[in-house]
Amino acid sequence: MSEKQNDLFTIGIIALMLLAFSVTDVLAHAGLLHGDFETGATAPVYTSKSLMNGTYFEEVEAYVTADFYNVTRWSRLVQKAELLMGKRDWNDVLLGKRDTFFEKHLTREYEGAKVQESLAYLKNLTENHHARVMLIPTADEIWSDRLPLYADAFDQKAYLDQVREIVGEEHYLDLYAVLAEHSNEAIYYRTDPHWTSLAAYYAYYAWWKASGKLLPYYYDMRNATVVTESFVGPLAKAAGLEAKGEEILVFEETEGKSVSVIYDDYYVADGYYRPEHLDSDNALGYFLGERFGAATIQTGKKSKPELVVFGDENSHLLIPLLAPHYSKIFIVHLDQFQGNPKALLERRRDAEVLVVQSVPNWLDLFEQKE
Amino acid sequence: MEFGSIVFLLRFLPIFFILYYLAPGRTKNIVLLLGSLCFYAWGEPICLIPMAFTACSDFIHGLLIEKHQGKGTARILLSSAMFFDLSLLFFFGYADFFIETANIIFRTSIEKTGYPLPVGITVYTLQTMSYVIDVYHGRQKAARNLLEYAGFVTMFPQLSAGPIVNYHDMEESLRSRRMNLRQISMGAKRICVGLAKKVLIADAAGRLWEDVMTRQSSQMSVAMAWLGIIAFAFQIYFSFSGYADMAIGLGNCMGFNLPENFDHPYVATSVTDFFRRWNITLVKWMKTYFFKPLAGGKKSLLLQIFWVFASWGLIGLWYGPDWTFVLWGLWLALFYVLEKLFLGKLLEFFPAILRWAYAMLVVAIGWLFFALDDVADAWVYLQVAFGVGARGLMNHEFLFLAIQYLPTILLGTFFSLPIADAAVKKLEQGKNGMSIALTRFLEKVYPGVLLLISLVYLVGRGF
Repeated sequence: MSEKQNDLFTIGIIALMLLAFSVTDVLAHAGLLHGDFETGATAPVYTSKSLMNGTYFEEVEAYVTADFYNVTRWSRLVQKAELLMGKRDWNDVLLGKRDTFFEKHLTREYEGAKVQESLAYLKNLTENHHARVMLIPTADEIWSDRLPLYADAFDQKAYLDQVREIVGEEHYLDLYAVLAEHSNEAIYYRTDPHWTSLAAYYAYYAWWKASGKLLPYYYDMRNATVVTESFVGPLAKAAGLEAKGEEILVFEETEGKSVSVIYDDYYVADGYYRPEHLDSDNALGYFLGERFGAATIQTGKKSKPELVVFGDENSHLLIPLLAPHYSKIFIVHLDQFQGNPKALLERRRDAEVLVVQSVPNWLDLFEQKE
Repeated sequence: MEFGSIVFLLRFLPIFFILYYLAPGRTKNIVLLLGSLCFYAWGEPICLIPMAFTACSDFIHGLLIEKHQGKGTARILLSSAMFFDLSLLFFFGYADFFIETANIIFRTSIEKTGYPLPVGITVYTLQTMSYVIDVYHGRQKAARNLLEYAGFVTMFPQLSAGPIVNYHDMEESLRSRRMNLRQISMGAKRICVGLAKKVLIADAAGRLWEDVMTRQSSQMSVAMAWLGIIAFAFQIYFSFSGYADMAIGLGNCMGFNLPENFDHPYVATSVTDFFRRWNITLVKWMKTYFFKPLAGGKKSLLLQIFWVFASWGLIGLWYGPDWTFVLWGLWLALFYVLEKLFLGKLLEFFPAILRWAYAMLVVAIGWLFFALDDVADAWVYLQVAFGVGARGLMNHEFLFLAIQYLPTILLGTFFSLPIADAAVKKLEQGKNGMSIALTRFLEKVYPGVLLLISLVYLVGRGF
């Protein structure tokens, strides 16, 4: 090739590339090409004010960028390239081994005053209300071998050891040991920060053993109902990475029960499960629905005691298993509860009290203080 | 409109170049002017006002100064031109900065204007000022064609971040320029390199810097603090030099030759050397049009030192209306002065690697003033970088982040050093068939590959 041909080649390639990208995008927006526009961005509309102060131009730039032809495919391509180059952190979500996504729980975010306050709260609950503490270590603790190399995850085991020491053995249920024993099973969702029905099942039997109740209820994991096989949790979505769907299971024995759930004192629903959530962004809302401040489950077993649960979404998977042992279960999400938890416990002096939350969720209730 | 945006690359640029190449002869200047005005108006149309005013004012002042050359009137006209230029720059660019400072010092509560710093105002103001000064000194004939002059003032390639050019360097090309395939091809390659620097290195380094800054200084290990400084150093260098490459490349594609603005500043072995390599045209402008007239001749040493600090304080201010930028300039000026006084001679006794380490340490500390919002933050960060109040020397958080951004760090290091240029030169000089074939292959392939990767990143990252 002569020098002239070389130059023409360079100019041609660069010009073609720019034109190819820009023309396909323009044609696709004009409806002449099929492509994905999954972002749902809408074209901005100009006004004289937005034209003059420049906001219209900003909106156009944002729109053109967000709604580019096949943007999700380009995005996936970039992520695959980054994955090949060793990147394992997207939007504070870690991608570990065996396609497992982890929520980031950094050591520096879970220390100091936050820990001390949470321990004092637990001490008060156990001393004054005989609460039983079932704090759940999350996947980054039990599946720490799946974490990316050098990924920082705060030592939940060390925290749980402090909890055990503060509340005493009689009030402490060692879910760390229970889950660690089954760490090679699907006890956490790979794409979601919560434990699975299987983990809740193991926790239930551990609870029963420690509770002194006469007999456990029988739940058959082999006959569990698969409510969906295509669950992709929020962690994979936040990372923007493709992920294989997972199963959500429920125990057949918990389905079709005539229980009523009263949410925040005004909304009443039947049963533990809400199928309408399966196709939403919050598919795990299948278990007892959207987040709420407080809910009361009436099981109709009037002779049984009452239970107060200070819980999070993880507790929603366990509650259907515990329910046959109680006449009423009061579920309180402390971060959204409008009332006074102390007053609630005073009113329910005879009720048993359980704290069922993941360790990070529990600690997040206590503001970080420097 | 940013050079590294989809709107610029995939909307503005194709349309502009199609029209530019279709336009015959001197009508190219009309396309250039209209294109530049669109580019400039894209952010905030109101910003066209100071630009138009500056262009017209300096064009008229230039003509009048030339007419009264050698008379007292010319001096008055020069002062008048400077007054208009600086007033506009002050009002649109720095009024709020000075109001805020006055409010702090005098405890007043003067209301701010709320005008954002118009894009390019610091570039075109310096260019037009140098033009009028050159006309006054007879180094430059006054422009007689407003279209050509407006094209010079508004020319979009170098409007964002330089290089700062003189009218006499552009005059000939503005009047008549011959474009050839070689120049266009070189320009196109340069655009690809600049875009890759911005998108693949500067933006990634920026994300690393942001990631480091999500924690407070007291939560960082020493290694983490230095990782942050390195990230910022790469972000700022590859942003500015990437834009400069694109500007030079765009200029080439239009038939202009813009001057180089960066020359591997991170291989500097002294602060003086760093000044020769960093934002070359700005430093040169400040030397020619500010320092020399004020401090040149037989001025006392103290006065010269004062003007060095003043020059560098102003260079800092050129980057943005904030005292931390001024402090950055003064910090570097301090070592520049020390090197001129005695440190330069002393450094000669040390091996090059130690001189380089000294220069980079000074530059790195300077970047902290540049990067952080206030001096107190920079001071705390600096302490952590030297182990005071740090969370150990190194921890898992650092190692994890370093692995996540390893490609960026490696690319940044590689392209900060003249290794790539040296390798290309060696290949070009090679006489064996293999070397020639490889050079030709790389020459053909690399611009397209860089552009493709950059575009994919740009589109994919925007999601």
